[in-house]
Amino acid sequence: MEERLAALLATARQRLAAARSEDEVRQVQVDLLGRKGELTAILRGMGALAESERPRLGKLANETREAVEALVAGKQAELARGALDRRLVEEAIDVTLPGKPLPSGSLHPITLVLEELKDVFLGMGYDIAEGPEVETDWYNFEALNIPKDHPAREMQDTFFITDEILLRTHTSPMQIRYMQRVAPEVPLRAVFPGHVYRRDEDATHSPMFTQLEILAVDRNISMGDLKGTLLTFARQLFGPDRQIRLRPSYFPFTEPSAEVDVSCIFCNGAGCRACKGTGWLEILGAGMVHPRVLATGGYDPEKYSGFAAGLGLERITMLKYGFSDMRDLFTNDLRVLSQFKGVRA
Amino acid sequence: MRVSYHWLKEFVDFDLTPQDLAQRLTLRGVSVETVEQVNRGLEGVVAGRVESIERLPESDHLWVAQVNVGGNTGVGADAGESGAGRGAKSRGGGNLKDRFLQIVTGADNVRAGDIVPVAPPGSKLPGERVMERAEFRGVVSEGMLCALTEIMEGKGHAEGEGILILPPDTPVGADVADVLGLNDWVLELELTPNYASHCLSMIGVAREVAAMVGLGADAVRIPGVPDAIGNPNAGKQEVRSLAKVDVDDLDRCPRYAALMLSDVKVGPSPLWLQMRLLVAGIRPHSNVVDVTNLIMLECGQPLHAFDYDTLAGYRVIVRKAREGERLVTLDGKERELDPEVLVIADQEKAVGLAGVMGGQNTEVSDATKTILLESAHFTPVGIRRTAVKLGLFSDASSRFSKGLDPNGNLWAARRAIALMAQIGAGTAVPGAIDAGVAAYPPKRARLRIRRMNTLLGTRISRDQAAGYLERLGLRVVEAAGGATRDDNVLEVEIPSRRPDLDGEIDLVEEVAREHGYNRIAVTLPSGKLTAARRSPNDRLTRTVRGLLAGAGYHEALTYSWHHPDILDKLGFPADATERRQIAVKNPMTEDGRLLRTTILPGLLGGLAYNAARKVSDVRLFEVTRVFVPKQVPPTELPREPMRLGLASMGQMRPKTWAGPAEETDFYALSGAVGLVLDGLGVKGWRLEAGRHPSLHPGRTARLLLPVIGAAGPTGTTAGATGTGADGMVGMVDAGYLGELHPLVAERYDLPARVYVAELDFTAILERARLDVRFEPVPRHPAVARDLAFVVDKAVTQDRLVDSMRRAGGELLAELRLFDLYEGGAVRAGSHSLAYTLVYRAPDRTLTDAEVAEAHDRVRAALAKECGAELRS
Ligand SMILES: [Zn+2]
Repeated sequence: MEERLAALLATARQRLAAARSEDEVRQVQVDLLGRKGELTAILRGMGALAESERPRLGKLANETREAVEALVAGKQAELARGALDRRLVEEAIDVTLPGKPLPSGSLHPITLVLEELKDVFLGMGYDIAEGPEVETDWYNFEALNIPKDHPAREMQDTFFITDEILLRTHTSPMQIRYMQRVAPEVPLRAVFPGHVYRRDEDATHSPMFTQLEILAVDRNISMGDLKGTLLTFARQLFGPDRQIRLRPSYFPFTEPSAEVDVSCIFCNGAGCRACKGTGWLEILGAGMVHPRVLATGGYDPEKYSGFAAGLGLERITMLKYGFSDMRDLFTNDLRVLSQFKGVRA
Repeated sequence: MRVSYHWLKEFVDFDLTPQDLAQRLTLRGVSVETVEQVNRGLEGVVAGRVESIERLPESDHLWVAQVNVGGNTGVGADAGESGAGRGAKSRGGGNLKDRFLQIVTGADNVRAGDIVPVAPPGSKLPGERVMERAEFRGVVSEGMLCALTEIMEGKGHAEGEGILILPPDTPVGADVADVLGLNDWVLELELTPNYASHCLSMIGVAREVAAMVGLGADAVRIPGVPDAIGNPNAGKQEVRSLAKVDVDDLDRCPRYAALMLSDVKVGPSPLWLQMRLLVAGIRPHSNVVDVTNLIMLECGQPLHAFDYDTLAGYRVIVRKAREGERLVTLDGKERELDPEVLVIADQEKAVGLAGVMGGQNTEVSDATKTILLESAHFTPVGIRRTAVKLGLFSDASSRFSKGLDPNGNLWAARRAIALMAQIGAGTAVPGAIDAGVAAYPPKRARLRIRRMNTLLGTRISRDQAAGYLERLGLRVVEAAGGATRDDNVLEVEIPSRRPDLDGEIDLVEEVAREHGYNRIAVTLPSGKLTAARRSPNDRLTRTVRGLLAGAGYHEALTYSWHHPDILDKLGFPADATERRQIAVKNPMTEDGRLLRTTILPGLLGGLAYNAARKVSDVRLFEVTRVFVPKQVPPTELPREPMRLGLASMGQMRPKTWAGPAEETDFYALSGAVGLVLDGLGVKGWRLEAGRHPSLHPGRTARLLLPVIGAAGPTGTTAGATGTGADGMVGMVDAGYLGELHPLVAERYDLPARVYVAELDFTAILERARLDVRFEPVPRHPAVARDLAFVVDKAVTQDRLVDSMRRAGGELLAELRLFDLYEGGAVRAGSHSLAYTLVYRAPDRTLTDAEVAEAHDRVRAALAKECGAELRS
């Protein structure tokens, strides 16, 4: 009997080693361990054994069954692993085939720049507010110290709707509207983005364009503060090495007034075609809020002062992304827009 | 204003290159646009004396001249080496100093003995023109005789222009660029209106330079005028007996000076004067007119010369024009006037538009014997109105309308008469008429030093500030000191030539300008810190942009206006509310006439632009404003509601190895709308069939949003919401989406299937979720059941979903259409639909019986309410 058990185990080893499929393994299992199998046959012979031999041989028979089962399980695992390995080999693909396209759109470059600017000024504690594009002559001009017949009206050729209603020529009317809203509270810090309109069109002018107005009012605000604020903004937008330069200029609603240049982002001030060899790029107009404008806004100019600045986003966008014709920003040509795919504000 | 570098040096001393001068002026607000060399490439052109000139044989229009260009002077001296004078030969036996060239010319104004500019072979003219030897009818021409246009611009002769005849004392062989003063630079100023009064003149610019280099305004050399000329206080006063001036409107013409010149000989100006004007960009005319222009450039004051003998009654009257009065101005145009226009008149008629342009009837001509010279001060507003009204913008009107020195008129007239006399244009008539108000007294302003420093962020002392103002020619009449340095005050007198300066803030700016903006220290506002946040709408708008860009839409930027024909093109009926529009009075073109009430024109324009360039797969979006007037024409500001627009055409996805192309369609568009609404957390929205004049009548939906406060409590999946049996109850219109009407598409040259949406973005934002509220994840299992049925196609999805939701009640957590089929075994007019319905309870595991009961309710409702034939 012992011999028969040992032979069974040997058979199992031999046949399983030779087995090539799940079915063969199952057949081995049936042949050896099944109800009509070898082991059953051996166990049937137990009755013929001496009483004293039975426990020992019973135990041996069980151990043999477990050993065969372990062999079967091992073989099954081995076959499964092989099958998986084969499947993985068969399933190899060309990973260099193009991926399945997912939709991808873009934000307009003006939006990209505007959002960046908003973040810069939010970081400096400026609120954001918007106002009407169709404006009264009073807010657009009179309240900003530009009475009718003032020569400065020629600086901004205006689209009129009626004698008293027009398309705003700048975002500066928001200075008055916002001051009237919050005066005499200080500090006032806000930026006002929006479309503005002037009768002018060429490669660097569009009759409709976008401005961002910056306004701060407080006690003791100085022109030095204006410089510091603009320098911070210029460095955040154009890089930490930028310098700014203020040149005296004229806007009826600020005094002193300045044109503000940033050191050329292309040549770093050495002089190139973009800056016409000057090393400087003009980016915005600014100044100290005129006392009459402060008073109109509801702030006593003897107690408060402020600065204001206005910049054209199209110009900044052109500089930042290298556009040479402003009109390219308004055609909605997909070949232009799709270059900004994936750029997010 | 074009400023000659050399001429400027006649007024003030400075030691700066033209480029440095330009840069430093720019940094003090006198903005220099360009610095140009006057000589645009003239090289080797010399003065030559015409020794003889004869007709070229067998030619009726060509002449051959023998010209002496000098052997030892000018370019001719280096002939052999430089090549500039190659071709010049000494004629045997001649004077060593002589060098003769034979030159063929077509001009017939040259006589033997004339000194003319000669361009020998090898010399250069502007425009990179290099002279070469040439032959005309077998006759060799060693170069060319030049006209002024050729020397200045390199172009051929101007019409009727002859060869330039140089002054007879010009040395033979002299470099013509030197003779004409071309080795000069011009600074082109681009002045802001406030600087017009003091920088639109050589003397004004010289004063700026004097202050800039620290010399002070007094260092400027003002040309002197002989005391006898135009002196209103001198003994002889012939002018007053020959003419009379009456100013009827002292508000608009406070001062008027009239001087006279007799024995006038109108003719060309001397060359130096012509050159000075040419360099300044003014074409020379005649000696009289050239002098008026030169003096205007010198001191800023416009002058006008009348032919005295054409003035009826020898009178000048400054008065309002009569209604319907007519005047032909110097530009040859007849103008009809009205009493708002100020004219200069004689006893009978208008003879000029005051401060704008003279009249032809009194123009100086070759026959003029006596001149009356006007030098007046007109106040800005009247001149500006006249110029705008008549659309006539002259150099004079531009200067007057920006404000000039009211006390400068008499001096300018005297200087002009003196110069006319000096160049032989006539004889000064003794005396002057100086009409109008007395000279203006200087203005006064106070400058508080502490306030100035607070505003600028500087620590400029009182004396420093006084020094700055004085070097600009302002007079500090009192420098008061208080108890502390901070109480210092300057009392300042402002000369009449600075009408741009008025109050304290103007003085602050002048001090800052002199001090230098670059010397102001950089600081940051020191006040209370403020925390700023984006407004909810700003954040939500940013979300929408991100969602749409992520979904393949490109953000567009379109104009706020459109052509008046556009609403016809879009198919809007005559009575559409969109036709109530704001019109721009003065658009640049008709494309900018009307402010948009719909954003379709811009987006369709964008699609059309791309389609015309064979870019066929385009998806655009834009968040922007439309303009809705309260009245037409508006008497108050319009509403400016925000709209969200989408437009798409072509393929959503191209055909690839992995699958077929996917064309854009209505459901791609409504999917994008759903993406936005769900992304913003808008609850209870729905679409229903709608009509829009620009859209396909069978493929148009209108968006309905719940009245605020009435949002349905249920889920947010597109098409899976409901607020009641009737979509209208408690809902508001919030825009349209659909397929573009084929006729509209055709008018825009667009392909057949274009999809657009225009939604009320303000209304959408008002319903957006501002904060997410976390809801616990369902803990009890859900049971899914499929359901298929055939139903009449007239029954909309919305009705089916409403029925199922109502019947399923709270247990019906989700439902999703997964199959839609028509044709085949399904009878015409119906289609077969299959849904997955998911049942779930938040607080327990549903029993089979509960699910079955709910599902049966849904089936029954579909059959009863929608006439569905259930198939499973
Ligand atoms: Zn550069």
